Amino acid sequence: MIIETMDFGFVEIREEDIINFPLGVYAFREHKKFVVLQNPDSAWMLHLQSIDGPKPRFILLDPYMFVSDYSPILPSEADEIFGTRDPSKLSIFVIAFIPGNIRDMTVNFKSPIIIDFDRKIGAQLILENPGYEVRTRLFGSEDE
Amino acid sequence: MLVITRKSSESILIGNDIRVTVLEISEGKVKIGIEAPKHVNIVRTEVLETINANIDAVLAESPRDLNLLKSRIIKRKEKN
Repeated sequence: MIIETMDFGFVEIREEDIINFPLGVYAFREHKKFVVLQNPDSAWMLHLQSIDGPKPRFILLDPYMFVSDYSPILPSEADEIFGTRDPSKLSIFVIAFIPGNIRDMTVNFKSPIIIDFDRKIGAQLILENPGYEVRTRLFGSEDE
Repeated sequence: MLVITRKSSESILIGNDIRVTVLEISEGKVKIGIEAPKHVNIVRTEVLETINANIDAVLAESPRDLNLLKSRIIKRKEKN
């Protein structure tokens, strides 16, 4: 099927690539089907694109690019959705907010996108870790 | 910030019709009961923060300058 994406125009996707988000994601609960598209210009950037239209889509990054000891403590909802609270059995991505000025970019370590690619189920869960924040700036003002 | 110390089962009032009661304290967690009128929206702070961050992330335009972004990330990694 062909979907309209936010960043790459119309894209053909396969039914089997659709990830079901039974709860949607926060603020966009009504959108329950997404695909993960790799940015053709940079393989490390993934686009979680709703199949319903150009929006919503989220830019996903590997948290370990930024925090090598990222150790998410999953809430009990993980058991209901994925049948496990063990993060090593799941794929975990942080949502990036990338404004016009890259220096002001933030990532959300507190509420990552979690995907079980085998069962094609995904969710955004708020972690139990007290130290992680929803908007973590990556670059200081000295990074020019 | 106003700071008040309360024991288990003690409460505070906010205005005339919002009562916050400490129900249980154990293992670094506090269980709180809130009685408030129906129109008062009560949400965990991190839920509202996540909602707002998601809205901002969705409204952001397609990322540009990916090479610059990558070099910044690499530079940051080298520093840490």
